[in-house]
Amino acid sequence: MPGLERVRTAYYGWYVVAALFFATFVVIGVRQGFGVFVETWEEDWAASTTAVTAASAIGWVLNGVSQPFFGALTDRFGARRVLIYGMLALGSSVLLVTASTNPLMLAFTYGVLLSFTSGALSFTPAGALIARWFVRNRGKAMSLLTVGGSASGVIMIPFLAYFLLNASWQTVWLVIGAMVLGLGLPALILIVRSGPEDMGLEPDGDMPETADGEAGPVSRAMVVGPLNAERWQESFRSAPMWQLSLAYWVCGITTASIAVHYVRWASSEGIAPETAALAFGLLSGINAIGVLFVGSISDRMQRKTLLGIVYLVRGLAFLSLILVPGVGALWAFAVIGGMSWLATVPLTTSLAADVYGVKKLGTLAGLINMAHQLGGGAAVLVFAWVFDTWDTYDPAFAGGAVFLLLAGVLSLSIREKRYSSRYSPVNPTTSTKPELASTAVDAD
Amino acid sequence: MLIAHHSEAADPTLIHWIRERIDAVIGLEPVAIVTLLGILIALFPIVLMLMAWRRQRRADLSGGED
Repeated sequence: MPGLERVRTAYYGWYVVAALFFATFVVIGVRQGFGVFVETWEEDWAASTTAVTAASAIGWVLNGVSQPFFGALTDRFGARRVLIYGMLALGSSVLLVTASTNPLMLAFTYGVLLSFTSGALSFTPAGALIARWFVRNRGKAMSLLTVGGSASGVIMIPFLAYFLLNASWQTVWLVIGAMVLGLGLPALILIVRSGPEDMGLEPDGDMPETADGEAGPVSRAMVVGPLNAERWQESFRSAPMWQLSLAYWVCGITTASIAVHYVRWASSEGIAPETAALAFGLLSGINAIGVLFVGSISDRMQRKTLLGIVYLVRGLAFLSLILVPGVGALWAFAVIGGMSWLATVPLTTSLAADVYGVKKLGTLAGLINMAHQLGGGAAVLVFAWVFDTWDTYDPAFAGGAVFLLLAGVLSLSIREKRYSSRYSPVNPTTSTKPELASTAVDAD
Repeated sequence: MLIAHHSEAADPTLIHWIRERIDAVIGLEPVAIVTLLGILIALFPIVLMLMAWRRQRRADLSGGED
């Protein structure tokens, strides 16, 4: 009876990853796309750059604050609901942006509403959801999600930039709204499920437990972390939460500062715009490949080792900005920095899930992401102050390299073999926590 | 495009530079680029939803998930 045979199909979790890939693609496009419209708004409203970009600055802070908020909602109501309502709210916010007639309204519609609601579609709820669907392939799945952001920069931003040449900014934002509500929202509703159990599946598509209970899936036990947190506050009594958060804070410092100050740095070094743009193309390509590679191999080796290496490699990239003369610094940074640029995202979230389990992962990931945002916001100001004071970014780059060295050491010192469910699987019914670490440094 | 991990706004000057590079390399009309990229963006979720629907239909017909 062929009709009754079980047909082997691709694990449904990969469809969920693909839907979240698109959600990430859209939300990052919407947030990054702000830069496309700055000059148009300045002309239309006869406003200064400061007045227009205030919306972006407000959005930066609120997006950071929103991370633990939506993380807590994820733990309470499930990531699926947060993502779907988040996409609905994002689409509505996008449509409201079209009604803006001055920088103050833009600060409210984009800076407050859109930036806050986009937190509901960030790596916080999406990562928490992926962690439920995948255990053995968690790093690979998280890295695919991360590439959605990279793809958005390559496809969505040029789309918006060229669209604006042929249409009013209101029309472009209406199209973005249609994209969010007409494509992103249905994809989430139709495809995303809260976890494999909703479809009678096991994480990673493993075979279900047999009747005699002998061949149960390894993955199920690994959904609970050795430091399984019943309350998010408990996680801060253990070293890995501090190690991951502090390292990710450095990550925020070193990515946001470059994202904001790159053009000013390139101009101050006399680098031609076409060369700088080309270097960015190279960096984008390398970072997409790098994050996929790192995510995939992180499922086969200790994630903390890769995380440490990634921070140290980025430290080298920062040093190259000081030590390599002329335009060579740009190419060195594009190649070395590109390898490490996004790779911290899947590694950090996967490691947090491995250590603390998925029950409070939304809140924990939200807090870690907030540390990233706070570090980034502060660094942008410090880098500006350094340049204004010394007329060079070198002291700031040197500081970034030192912080990255510390982040690398912090990451390498995580006792993954003791605290990760990959090496110390926990029986969910008889879970006992290992003694909380009072000291961080311990080689596995 | 370089992104800060949580999608902060891209630098307008950098967007200008990149657009000029694309113009120099590809040389297509803006309308053609918008059309191509628009189709690419729209196709992904549409194809994905169709594949998911087809998969569910196959699973229903075969009597269970794999």
